Amino acid sequence: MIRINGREVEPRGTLLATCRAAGVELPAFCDGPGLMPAGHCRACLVEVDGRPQAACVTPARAGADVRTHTARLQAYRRDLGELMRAESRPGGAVGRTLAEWGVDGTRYRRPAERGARDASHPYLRLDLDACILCRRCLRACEEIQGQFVYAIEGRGAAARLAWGGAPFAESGCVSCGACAATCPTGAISDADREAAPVMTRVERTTCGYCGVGCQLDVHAAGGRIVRIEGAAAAVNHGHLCVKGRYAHAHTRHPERLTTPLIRRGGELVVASWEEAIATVARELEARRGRVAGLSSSRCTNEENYLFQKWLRAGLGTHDVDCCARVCHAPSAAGMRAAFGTGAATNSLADIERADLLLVVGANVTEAHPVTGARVRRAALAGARLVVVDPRVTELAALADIHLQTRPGTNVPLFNALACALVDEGRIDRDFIAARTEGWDEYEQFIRGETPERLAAVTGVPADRVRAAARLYGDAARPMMMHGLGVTEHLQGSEAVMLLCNLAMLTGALGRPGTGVNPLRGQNNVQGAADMGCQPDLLTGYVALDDAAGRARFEAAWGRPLPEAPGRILPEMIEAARAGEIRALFIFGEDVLQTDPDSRHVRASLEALEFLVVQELFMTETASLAHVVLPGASALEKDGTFTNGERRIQRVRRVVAPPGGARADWEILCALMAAGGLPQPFRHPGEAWEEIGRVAPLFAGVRYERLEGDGLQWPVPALDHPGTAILHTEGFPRGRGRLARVAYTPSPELGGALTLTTGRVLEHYNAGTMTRRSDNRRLVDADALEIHPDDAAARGIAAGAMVAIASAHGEARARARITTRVPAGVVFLSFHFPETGANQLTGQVRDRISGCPEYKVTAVEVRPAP
Amino acid sequence: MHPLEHAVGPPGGELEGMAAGGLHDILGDDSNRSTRPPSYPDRARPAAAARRRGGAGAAAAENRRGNRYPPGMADEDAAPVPTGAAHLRLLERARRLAVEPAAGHPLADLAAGASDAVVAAARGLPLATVRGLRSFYDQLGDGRRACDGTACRFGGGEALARRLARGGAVGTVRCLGHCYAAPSFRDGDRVFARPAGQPLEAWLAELDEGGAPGEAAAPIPRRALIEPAVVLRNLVPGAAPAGLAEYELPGPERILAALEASRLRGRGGAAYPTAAKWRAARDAAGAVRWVVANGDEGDPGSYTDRLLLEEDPHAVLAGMRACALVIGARHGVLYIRGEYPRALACARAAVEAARVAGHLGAAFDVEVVAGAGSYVCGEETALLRSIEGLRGEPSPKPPYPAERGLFGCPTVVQNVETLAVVPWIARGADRPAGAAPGSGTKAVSVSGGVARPGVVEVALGTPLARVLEQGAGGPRPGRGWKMALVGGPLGRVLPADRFDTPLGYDTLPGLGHAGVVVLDRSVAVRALAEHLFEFARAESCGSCAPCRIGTARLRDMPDRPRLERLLDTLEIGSLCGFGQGVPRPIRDLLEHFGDEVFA
Repeated sequence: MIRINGREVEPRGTLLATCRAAGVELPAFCDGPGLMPAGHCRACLVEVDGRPQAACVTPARAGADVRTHTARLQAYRRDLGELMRAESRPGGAVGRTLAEWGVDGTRYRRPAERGARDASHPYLRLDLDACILCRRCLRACEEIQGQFVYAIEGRGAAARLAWGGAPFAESGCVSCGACAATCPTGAISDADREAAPVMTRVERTTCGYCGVGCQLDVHAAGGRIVRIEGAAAAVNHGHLCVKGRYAHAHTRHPERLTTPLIRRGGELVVASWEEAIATVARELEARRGRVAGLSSSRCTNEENYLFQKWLRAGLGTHDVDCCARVCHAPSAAGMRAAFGTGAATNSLADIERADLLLVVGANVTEAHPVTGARVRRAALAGARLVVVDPRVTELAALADIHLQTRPGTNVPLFNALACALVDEGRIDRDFIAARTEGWDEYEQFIRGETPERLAAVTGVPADRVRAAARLYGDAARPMMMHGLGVTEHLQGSEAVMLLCNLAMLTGALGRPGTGVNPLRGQNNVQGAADMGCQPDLLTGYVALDDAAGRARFEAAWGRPLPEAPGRILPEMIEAARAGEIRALFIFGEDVLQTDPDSRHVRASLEALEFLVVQELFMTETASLAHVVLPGASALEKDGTFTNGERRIQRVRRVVAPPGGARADWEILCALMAAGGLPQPFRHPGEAWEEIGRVAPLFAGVRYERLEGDGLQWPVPALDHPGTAILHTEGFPRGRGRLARVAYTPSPELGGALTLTTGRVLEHYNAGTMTRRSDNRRLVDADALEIHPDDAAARGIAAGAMVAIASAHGEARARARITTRVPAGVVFLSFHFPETGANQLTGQVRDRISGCPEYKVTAVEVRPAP
Repeated sequence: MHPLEHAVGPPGGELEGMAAGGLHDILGDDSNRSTRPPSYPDRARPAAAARRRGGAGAAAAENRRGNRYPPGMADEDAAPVPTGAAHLRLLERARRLAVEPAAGHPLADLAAGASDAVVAAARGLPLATVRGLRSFYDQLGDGRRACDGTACRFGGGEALARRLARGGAVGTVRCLGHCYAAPSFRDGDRVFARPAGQPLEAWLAELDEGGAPGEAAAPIPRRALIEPAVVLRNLVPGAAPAGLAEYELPGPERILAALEASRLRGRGGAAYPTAAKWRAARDAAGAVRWVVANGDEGDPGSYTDRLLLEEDPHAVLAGMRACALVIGARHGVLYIRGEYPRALACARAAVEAARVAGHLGAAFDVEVVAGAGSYVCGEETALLRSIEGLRGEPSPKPPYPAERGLFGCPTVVQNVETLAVVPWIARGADRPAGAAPGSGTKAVSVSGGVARPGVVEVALGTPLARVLEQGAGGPRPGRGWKMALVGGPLGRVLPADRFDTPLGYDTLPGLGHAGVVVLDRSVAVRALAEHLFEFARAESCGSCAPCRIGTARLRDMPDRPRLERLLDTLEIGSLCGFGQGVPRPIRDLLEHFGDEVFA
């Protein structure tokens, strides 16, 4: 026990933590959530057995007698405050505390002001006159985001906060906002906070951008979002990225759709909800049997559930799919084939438990920034990092080993890694014997796939492959993460199976800090699949040929269901062109911009008799629709999202949808009622009782249980705590399957240049939301990354507009000459419709799931005429 | 562009040559290249086996790699970590990723004139970090700098600075360790001081005429008032130069037993029992251990360590080796302040000689790292940060270096003088190390108003008056003593009527490294006070608020209550011994001279 102001309490780490736990508040300006104690500000001084000590950096020692507010300490604090006021003019919490102490800034002479202000960044404002040099910003940048933007320049009284470039906008900052969030003086602030009203309402919700599922505290006033803060939750621990924290302006953007639109005489004109609902219900019913639906990974679980229920039970078709098809369907298919469950085996928290991180085909710091920061932190804390990527991503630059593959050569690379593990004996024979099948045939196959032989194919030297295999094989807790660089290929699903092989060979499954973990791209791509928005699986992955399972659905829904599976997304596009599908309902997706071979997609959509698009904005796809329904953004409705670690988290309405826009689940209920399938739900939460009834995976999910950090499925019962790690005992399919996969090169390989596409940090997918925010001031166009040699050979100057041509179409962008891409590879993001990135991509698809091969397209680049 | 894209270039990228070839290749300068692969900081890595699943030593490797909840997700109970921990890990990582670690040290790069961008690229450091690093040290780059150490300040330093300023800009350096020949200045790596016996005006006139400025080649005067001499055993007249014989050491257990019996306490000022420190480092968990010799003798008025490093470096290196034997270290760093160019050269030559003779090498090797102008770097945690290539800012203790020191590994940081006596103690366990139990001898640097300034070795407990009278020849003719600054600017001020005070860690807390600058009656109390204020302001590292802001306000205080309020804030609030120690001599001035401080 330790004595705090005469009271015996339990010691808790530092004296500061102990005092706080005991309810004794101490001023601690340089202490911030998530930061290591540093002892800069010295305000938390206490007397320990009469000796002054800074509480934040002093371990709580049993038996110590601690006094926190003696006359001497109070006089000291006042004097310290006077010194601080002689150096700076702190606002914020520090300013308030100093005022409470009666500090008036008169005791010490005040030298000239530092005078440094910076407003070059769209979101961050710096005013160093308010800075007390507590270094929370610097430490947040380093310890939370793993970046090193800030530094202290000068010494002693001349010390000041500095950054790597001037102006600040050129400092290399990734705009995560952690510095502004932790700054206690207002020296660094969010630009949007300056104008924020004082009285705001705060709602906890889940971020609507990527599949990390960060928890947000959203502040609203007068029906507008005024600012967003990171919540202290399991997923993000208060951290956010440039999208989640700042890019919320789309919610009140003037281009938001606010009324239903119906096409009349070639024009989309304003219509009433009654008319729009009736029209959609009537036109779809009229084409029963030739109707298909595309659901949205951007929308909630409940909406996805209703959508597929409507298509299946209401319109009698399994022609329902979602955008998971174009991203992680291969992960689901590959992992189902290997293990029996197509979802991440472990949790994001395992990143901290792993001693090796194998990041494959994922640009985590840009596409999943908060997870990316977690990986950076883990690597900086000592975990080994192996990155497989054709590009020198930020993580590749930090990696112990970067396997810089040629695009489209994952299968030989993964086989080579497995071969190195097997022939160097770095495998877990017990695990293989107990938990897998097919070892003998597999061993015979894999021994031939040597790194030495395959180096010519992958472009990765054999010794580097073997070194990576050694790191993976020797690690106690190797954790694998993969992204669309694995899945969006001709052999995407098969490549995922090969990743599963690596984990099974080394027994890196079912334990903390291990596993095979697809980094799901969209905020609810996991949930859309979970809810059954795929043509062959019902809610909760109940197969259509599972008669008992199907019977549960038929009983609950009160309608018979077709037995044959429906069409996947690309088949729908084909079928539309062929006239087999006449009406299509597209729910929150801009297939024209995001699906490959845009020309082909446009032709298909134009061939439809009836196209309905439910959207926030008039996207490329919506502009072709016959009826457009204005939906709600994630900040405007209730529901749940499921993140990439299977965590079901609440989405809460913070503001109302603008104008006549409606929550999507309400629209769906209205459509279902008009189509003769009325739903009893008055609130999305009520859907879970039914979902739990039909899908045992979710039997224990109820809204009241999702408060806090939600639940990770499977949640088979109301008293089940959820599942952080899958496959701890066995696999759902029994034994894990060791797949033997031979390499089939993509037909797109072999050109002069190979195009690979992806995202940048500042924008999200089709850019519908981020382009309508100040993120546009950070990045206002797509750029083509091209190696200096390739640029020189084509007479391309840095920043010049280039034309990119493939067999399928042409796109334009400015050239960024960089060694982030190797010679022979070019990279293009697809956030801006004017670029036309998906004009270039073709028809090659994953052989198993049908996911398009966005990552490999033969192109040529030339200066734009 | 993210900082790291600059920092850690891709294999085959534009930075590859830099990262692999080291900075000297970039600069086209091989003057510093050693004959063996350079190894700053030769980061030993735990055996690969330790990382294997279930392998022996896994726990140790675990410990070293900090297998705890990572920063940024720190729970409430997180233990304090050294400042700059994230940077350190970045640095470590960048080094690990380099095909071959870059030679030398970031400070050496900067001192050699490399740009921030070049250093950032070669060292894998963010640009902002390098800028912060450069701006921390004040002796980077060439040019003339006049010494403003206490002996020079009150021994003609101002006249010298004025004279030098006629020839162009002149900077300041806060002690070149030539206090016995004040005033002095440096011009790049050359140090000039007034030759003994030459009147100040005559020397300055020589400078003025562009004549030979009298390079201070004169040896440091030294004498021992104790028999046998211990610290100066190889340096007093008649002693045989010991050289490599110093490396003849008994086994680790006997060394430790001898140290224990000698009750040796650290001579840098903290006076911590040496044997206990070594024991703690030996017993701390970790696969890699370091021995660090602190040759950052920053106290103006102290030059004992310079004497040892220049004339008896093998005693220091042998002391390091003894420590390595005891704690199980394979790596040592000898950090020497940049203001001691000759000591750096001598130490480097000694390391080479010891390698050739087989006393240093595979089993234990030493790298010499040069400081670049920061008093605070003499504080042990700051010293470690500086060696790591970061700003030399102290970090809170605990953790102590013995548990988490250089690169997070258990480390013994020991003053040069302490290390120099270790071989002597180790070889003669039966001999007491000094006059009184637990004390021993101390080399006292004497300068200022005495007839024969120099290093005087005495038994701890010897009254200051005896040191001055018998060791330094008493006062200069016609100049009565007023006071002495003992132990440097964080030490004590003794008025002349207290010169009977015994010099000992217990009898005179604040004795420090025992540099004594005697000031005669011509020196105003206010002048000494302002010198101390200025030193505090100029050398505060700026890491903690009270010291950063308070040291710059000391000279503004109009009266005793206001000054004492500020001194109290500095003393109780400051993070490290610097801010805590600044008030010590000022309080003495107030006690003994009262309002003269404000005169």
